[in-house]
Amino acid sequence: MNQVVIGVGNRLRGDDAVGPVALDRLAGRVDTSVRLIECTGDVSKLIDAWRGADRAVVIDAVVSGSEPGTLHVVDGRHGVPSRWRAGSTHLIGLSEAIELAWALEVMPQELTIFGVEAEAVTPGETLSDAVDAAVDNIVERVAELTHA
Amino acid sequence: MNGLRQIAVDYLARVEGEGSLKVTVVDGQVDDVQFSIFEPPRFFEAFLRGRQHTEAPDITARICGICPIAYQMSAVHAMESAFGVEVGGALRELRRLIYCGEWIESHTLHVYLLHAPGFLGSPSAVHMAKDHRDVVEQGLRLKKVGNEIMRVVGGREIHPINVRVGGFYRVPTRRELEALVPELEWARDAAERTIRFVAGFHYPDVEQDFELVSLSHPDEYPFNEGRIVSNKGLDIAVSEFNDHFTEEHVARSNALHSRIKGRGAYHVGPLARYGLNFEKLTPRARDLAVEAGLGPVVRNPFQSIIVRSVEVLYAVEEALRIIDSYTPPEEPCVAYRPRAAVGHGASEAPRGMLYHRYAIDDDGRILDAQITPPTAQNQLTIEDDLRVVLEQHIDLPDDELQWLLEQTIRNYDPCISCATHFLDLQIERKERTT
Repeated sequence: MNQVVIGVGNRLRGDDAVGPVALDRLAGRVDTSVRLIECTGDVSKLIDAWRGADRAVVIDAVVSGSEPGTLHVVDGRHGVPSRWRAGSTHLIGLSEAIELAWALEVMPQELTIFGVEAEAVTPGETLSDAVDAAVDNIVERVAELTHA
Repeated sequence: MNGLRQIAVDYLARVEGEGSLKVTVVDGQVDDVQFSIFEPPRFFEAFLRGRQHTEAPDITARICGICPIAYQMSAVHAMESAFGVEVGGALRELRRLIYCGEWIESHTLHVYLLHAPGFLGSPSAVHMAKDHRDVVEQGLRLKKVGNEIMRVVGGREIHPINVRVGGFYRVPTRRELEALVPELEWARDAAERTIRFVAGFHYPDVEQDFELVSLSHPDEYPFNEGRIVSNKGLDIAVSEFNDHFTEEHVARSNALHSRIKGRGAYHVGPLARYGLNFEKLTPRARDLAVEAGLGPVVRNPFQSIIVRSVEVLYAVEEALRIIDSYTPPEEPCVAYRPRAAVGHGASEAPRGMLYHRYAIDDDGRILDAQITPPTAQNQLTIEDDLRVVLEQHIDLPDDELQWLLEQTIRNYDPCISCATHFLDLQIERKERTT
């Protein structure tokens, strides 16, 4: 089974680093056949990363007005909720990448998005406590999902 | 009485950053055009002060995620001019190669995903992909070829980390570069198809008497080196930039507006490079340009998308040439000793000439920095174009006019986030009250 986990975000912008940090903690926790790809949100890289995948997981920071650290899990094949300002610091957003994947007929069989409510996406290399705790939860769930 | 017509758009899509455009039309005549940039100023020049000169390439690369190489190159050339360092041979070729990567990546992103949808009547690349799936796939693959060059030579795609004053931290092996060749050969054909594809678009009939400004080198299409020249007589060393260009602060904008002293607005970017260096393109790039209907000088800013596509072909061919003749240098970097001096560097970012100036002290620390990005230099010219396009098309319905004005701005692939970031567009039509 072709599986990929994509961590979207910028390591230098506080909670925006949640995707890349989750990848760091997933290394060694998931089967070596699972590709772990860090992405700054470049739409072409997202498309390339999940092209041909049976199962794709995307981990990204979200700003939707919920409590910081809240974990939103959605079926990405239907797009992302419009209230998410997911990927706001990225070049072309996750929602455009999803639409483009449909248009180009490269949508994976499964696309699960883990969106973590960010507290602050300001410059800095530290996650907020709430988001840091959410990462551990994501790691458990993604490890479980990719073993299924 | 018609009173007042107003169009307001939340932001201009498909440009990098945030800005606004306010247009006032009185009695059917264009009264005022203000293209503004309202992102807070980015204090890069200030926080470079007191840092070591060696940090400038990596700090300034952070100004832009699309054209970090341009910032790194202008910075290293400025430092090298300050210290009297010459970087030649394979190291110089590798700098051209990494720049080819950035042009391919940046131009392709703009041509396919940002500019073309407007010409095809699609609101976005996503909509365009539904009708032109193969075209978008081709664009994504071509862009990736550029990203791969940046990854192999620069260490990673975004904000490469391998460029330093004097050369590189590590140089690639011949085998690492040769691995790029098959995709580059595909890219050469894809770049030709791109030129033919965009040549078929319908272009508004606009001709502008631009003062075109770019670097010019006797033997090569410019990336890193050359004199600053124009089609109106300018021919100066890079170090003379401040003698001939001024930057002034305009209250409505956070970017500085550049002018040529005594003349005013000027144009940097693909049209300028092309018009001033046409004969230095590869024969194939020249032939394709002619086939696309371009003369040796292009004055229609909307056709910048064709010129960008020609430059992609050039960059692909140049990359293949460099890789073919590459022998790794013995050392990845030229040794040098810092000294108190002022250094100037200019290189050709995808969007146009990017000038850096640094004053350095005896310990190699930066006393003062000046960074003049291409979008700031083009800002007045963009306003001029907007005025002309408006005057020619004043009777168009507001929605068509809005499309045309947005494309007018996109012609410059403005990296507004570099220049200091969405566009709030307002067209106000009113009648003069007497």
